[in-house]
Amino acid sequence: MAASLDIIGVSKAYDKKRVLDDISFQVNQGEFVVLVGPSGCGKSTVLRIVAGLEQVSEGSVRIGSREVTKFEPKDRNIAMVFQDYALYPHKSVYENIAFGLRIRKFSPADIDRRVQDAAEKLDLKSYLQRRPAALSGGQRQRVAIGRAIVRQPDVFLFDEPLSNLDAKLRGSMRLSIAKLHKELKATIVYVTHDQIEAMTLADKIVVLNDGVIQQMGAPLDLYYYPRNVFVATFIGSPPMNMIHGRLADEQGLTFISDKGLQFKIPKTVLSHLLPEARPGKKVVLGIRAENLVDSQQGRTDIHFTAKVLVTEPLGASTSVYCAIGGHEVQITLPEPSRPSVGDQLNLTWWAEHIYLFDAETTLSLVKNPGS
Amino acid sequence: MRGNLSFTRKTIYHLVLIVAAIFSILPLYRIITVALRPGDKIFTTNFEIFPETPTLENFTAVFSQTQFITWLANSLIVTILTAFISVILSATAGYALSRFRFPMRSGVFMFLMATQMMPAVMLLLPLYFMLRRFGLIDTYAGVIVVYMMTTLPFCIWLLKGYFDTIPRSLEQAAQVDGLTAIGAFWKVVLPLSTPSLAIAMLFCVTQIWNEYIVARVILQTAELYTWPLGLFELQGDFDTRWGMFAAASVTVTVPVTAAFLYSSKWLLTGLTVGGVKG
Repeated sequence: MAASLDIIGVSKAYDKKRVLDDISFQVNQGEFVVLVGPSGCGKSTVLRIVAGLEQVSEGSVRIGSREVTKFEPKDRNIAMVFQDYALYPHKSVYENIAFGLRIRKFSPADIDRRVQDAAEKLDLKSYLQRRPAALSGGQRQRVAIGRAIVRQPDVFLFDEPLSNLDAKLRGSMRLSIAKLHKELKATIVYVTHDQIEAMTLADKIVVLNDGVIQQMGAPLDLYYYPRNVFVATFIGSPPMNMIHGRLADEQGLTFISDKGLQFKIPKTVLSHLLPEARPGKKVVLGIRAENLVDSQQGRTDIHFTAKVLVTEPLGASTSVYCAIGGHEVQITLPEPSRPSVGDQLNLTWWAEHIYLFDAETTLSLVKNPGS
Repeated sequence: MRGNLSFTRKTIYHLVLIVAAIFSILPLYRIITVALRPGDKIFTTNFEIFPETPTLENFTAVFSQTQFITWLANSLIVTILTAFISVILSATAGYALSRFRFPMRSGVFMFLMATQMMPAVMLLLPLYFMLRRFGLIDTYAGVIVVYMMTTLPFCIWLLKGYFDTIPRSLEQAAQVDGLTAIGAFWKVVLPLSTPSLAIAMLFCVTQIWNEYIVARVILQTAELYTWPLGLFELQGDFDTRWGMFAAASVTVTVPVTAAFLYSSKWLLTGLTVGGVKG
């Protein structure tokens, strides 16, 4: 049965090098939590600590009402899907899925029922007698998931399970995992460096960098109200454009970039800013690629003239790198806008969701209504 | 032109291989034919591919007139025990060196490798005194200990190298599935290592089965002789019984050949293929 998971003040150091620093978060029963961050940020270490494959230097781990910090992996009642599948190559698909049940001395009838049930769910029925070597990458990953779900563990752990699959397969596997979560109502901790996976799968995202939690919350909460520059640039695709500058008082609060780009902060968003966002403050302005639109669609009076540098047609939209007042920014224009290199674009900033950060602390200067 | 060159090259390769094959097979052929000749035709110089009147009398003689069965049994005991103990110890040691980080780990490994450079014969004198102190002279245990000194470092090196190629995630998956760390080694790592375990076992068998010098120094009672020592007994000062000698030589190749044939099915490579993302 699914159980809750509590990570309480967990730190981890290898030979004095601290890789996790005071990590605390809770995963509610049946919740899908995604740990996301760049390579080396410590997200897999958190997962391995939950699995019992690594020991904490400080802190504790609770699964349901049990304190499991010192437990061996086998005693934690967790299941894990590894990045490289980790299937037993000398065993058939059936035996791979049944392995954990055999160790736990389930009856043969129960094992068969559970394996067949998992194979049915994961569309593996016709591969049960094959060895892993005879399967494709997607099928192997499904076997690995099957091995996890037959055990009906308290917590499922996924360690970048889709990173070895091609883009198309990744999409379909993502959907399978989402459906499986709905069906099983399982507690899942999922590690990825792919923010699209994080946004699409998670009930809650935990963003990690350098072993420290940067922010956690619902996917759209992180998208609209990033706590700092790191989260702002990490969540969202393409990454948020960042323009360094300062605030000034020129008949209202005005942003002046380091390269002279200047505009008034719209009155509609002024009330969203924290009191620290005052004239003289060095700031970083964030503009999402999708918030710079053709002038006709704009809702504010902030207009930019941009010169197209590079275009990347993507089909449904075109990604355009352009220069605005000396700053290179990336924007996304929906079809049928297809500018050519050298074109002048008249853009309007859709500034309902302003992103403004303190240049020194990198913390957001925008109020988060949820916090 | 290119085809001709290739044909010439092929011909040369095949000639070299045929000559090498003849050099390898000729002694074997000679010893088999000598073993099958009647006693009065041992030294015949007639050119004959196969003896005109082949007989098994040398085989029956070596089994009935000497302690050959005892020597064979002794060799089997020493070889099997040494091979099994070596493989068990080197599998655990190789696994520890492959998986665990501990102080002096690389030092230990280098030391083991360095011992490979020293032939056991060089250490025979100090070993003899040590074995005598422990009362192991003229015992199976004595020869087994010395043999293991030569087999262990190589087997540890071999198995450590193989364990290095097995992804750790397999053991970790097994631990999450419900095994202890030792259980994962036993039920996942060892079954995947059968090719290298078979090679290690074969290495031990071929090293020990024919060994003479160490056995000569340590074993002194005829009842404990291994077959190489026993065979030497057939050589007299004035008369060597070549027929029996040859028959015994042919006989002793049987167990080691059987061991090789049996283990060849385990020598399949690529057992770990497909388990993890390559």
